[in-house]
Amino acid sequence: MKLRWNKSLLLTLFLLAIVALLFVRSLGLEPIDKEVPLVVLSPTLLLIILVLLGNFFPKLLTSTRVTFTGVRQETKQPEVDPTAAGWLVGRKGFLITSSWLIGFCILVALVGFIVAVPIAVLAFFKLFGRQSWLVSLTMSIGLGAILYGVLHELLRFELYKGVLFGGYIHF
Amino acid sequence: MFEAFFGAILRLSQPEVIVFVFVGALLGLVLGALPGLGSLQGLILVLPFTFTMDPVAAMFLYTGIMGAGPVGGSIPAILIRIPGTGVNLSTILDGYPMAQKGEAAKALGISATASALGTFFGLGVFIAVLPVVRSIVLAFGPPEYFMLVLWGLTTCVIVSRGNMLKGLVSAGLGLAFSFIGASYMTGVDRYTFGSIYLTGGISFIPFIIGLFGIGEILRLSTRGSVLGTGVSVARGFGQVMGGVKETLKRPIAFLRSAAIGNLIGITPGIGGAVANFVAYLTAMQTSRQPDSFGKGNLEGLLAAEASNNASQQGALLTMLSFGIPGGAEAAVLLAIFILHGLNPGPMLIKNNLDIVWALIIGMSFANIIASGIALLIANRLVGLTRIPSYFIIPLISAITLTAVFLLRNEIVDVFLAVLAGLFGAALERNGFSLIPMIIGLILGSIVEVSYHQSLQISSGSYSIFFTRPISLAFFILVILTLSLPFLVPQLRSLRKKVSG
Repeated sequence: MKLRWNKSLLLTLFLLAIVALLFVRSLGLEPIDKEVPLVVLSPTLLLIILVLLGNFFPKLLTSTRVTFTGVRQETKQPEVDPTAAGWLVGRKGFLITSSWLIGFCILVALVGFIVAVPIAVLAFFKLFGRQSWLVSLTMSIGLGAILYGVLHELLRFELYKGVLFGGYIHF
Repeated sequence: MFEAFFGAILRLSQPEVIVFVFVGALLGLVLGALPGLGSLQGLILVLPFTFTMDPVAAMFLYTGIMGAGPVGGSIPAILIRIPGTGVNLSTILDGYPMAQKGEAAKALGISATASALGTFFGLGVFIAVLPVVRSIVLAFGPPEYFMLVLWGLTTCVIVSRGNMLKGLVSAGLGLAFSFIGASYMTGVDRYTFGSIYLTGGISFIPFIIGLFGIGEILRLSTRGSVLGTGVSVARGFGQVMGGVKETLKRPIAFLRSAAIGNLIGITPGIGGAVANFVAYLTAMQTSRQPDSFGKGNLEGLLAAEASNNASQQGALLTMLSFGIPGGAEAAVLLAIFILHGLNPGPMLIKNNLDIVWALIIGMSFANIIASGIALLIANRLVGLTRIPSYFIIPLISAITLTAVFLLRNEIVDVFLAVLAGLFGAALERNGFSLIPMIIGLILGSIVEVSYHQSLQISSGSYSIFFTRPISLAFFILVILTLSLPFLVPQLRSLRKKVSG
């Protein structure tokens, strides 16, 4: 048995924590409210423990890598396009994009869609897409104008304003 | 009955009515193609402009939007793995892998053809069952729903490609997430941790758009381009026509999916997304190559597209006959009817059968217009797959997340979509299939509610699930489905021994 601290183990522990938390919360509910959730959560908890054990005994996971027809399958990892821009592929590409998405959410929450969309798009084109100012500004202002013109002016949708401009968030 | 039918056709031949249906179809097509938006938003959008219109003319506009929405929604589902509308969720499962194999034009051809034919099927069923619709709807009580949905859930065993254990965990997580929010039985908050947002439960359209749409954006960022390595995109109208021919070559697969879609559409409260998945899973279960589903199987795409259009017609049938909406769009349409002074139900069928026919024919006409436009522009749409990732990532993310907000005017939905995207990308990267999670999330609340309703009817006796014929039939299907992964390898080895 060998403990391998990898991403898979961390993810499995995270899933275990979520399901265990829901399971514990179920115990305090009325019988009618917890009956079906417990029927689902109990086996799910056991299955996650099995996946967790698979990190220590890899053969356990290999033996369950089967499909409908009984054929074993390997998990396919995404292919990388070698012709693509080198700075936006692989783990780096994932980190850049996920950080940008989180940043976009924060920006929208603060200043709303109409301001956040052009700023976030401009930042991506300029910093990560490495495009010229002309392309970056055209794309970002263009998209912002389309969203504002079509959604707000033409279709009369109320876009979120952002907490700095009177918007509010209900968590 | 036929007098009213021909009267409705005559009405549809008037130029102003054609314009209304055409405008509705275009609006539905465009809104459907925008991720997160769809016919629901279209119906709400045109509502203020129709107050002063003749109610029947307004209905043509509404049905135009409803008929074209799913056709538009299949375009981003196939090209960029983002479902345009809720009823295009399973379109992405085989449509997008086809695009990845360079067969986007063919996939769009299949989608448009199956949509148009699905509409014809729905119209045929409408004509056939209008006199007996009441008995069909009443045959499905809570035990039948429960077993039908349970059967849908057991298919998780099949769709857990790669690793069955992880697939089942994924299904369990989906089910667990579906229980979040106020309990249907007692109204008590479950697993909300004091959050006002979670009281209404996890809204599954933002969650799914995040899981697949934002998740795909993240996968795209690791891959570098839409289609990955060495994929040459086959273009040309011949490819689109190839998709049309492939659809026409599979009449049984088409009829089965359209029938399932229609039946689930007729059943109140389930909706098009479930119809879409059940038809897809049935196509997979009955296929000789179930393993090829999710990898660009033509029948998978055909099932998804034939069912979503047929389900809409079914939902409209129930709404008009009983005043019970079969899905979100039908619910909004019901409200619009009442606003225009029309009361859906048995009296509408009795007194205003011409309006009923006008609606259903208008919807069919709009769907065919939208399918025709989609076929004509499919060849050009394929070019979208060649756009570099640094263009697609910011533009699609910004549009998708704005659309997610507009679904319910809820900013937390945007955060949920991004979290779901990150979560989904992590799960998929580690071998957890996302499809069982979606099935669990969509069907979880239905299974719980129908289970408790069934027990209330039977005063707590579980025999209700096994003594009603339809429920028993679905139970047998559940058992068969669960035993298939064990039976199929045994049967194969037996066949090998016999032939050897």
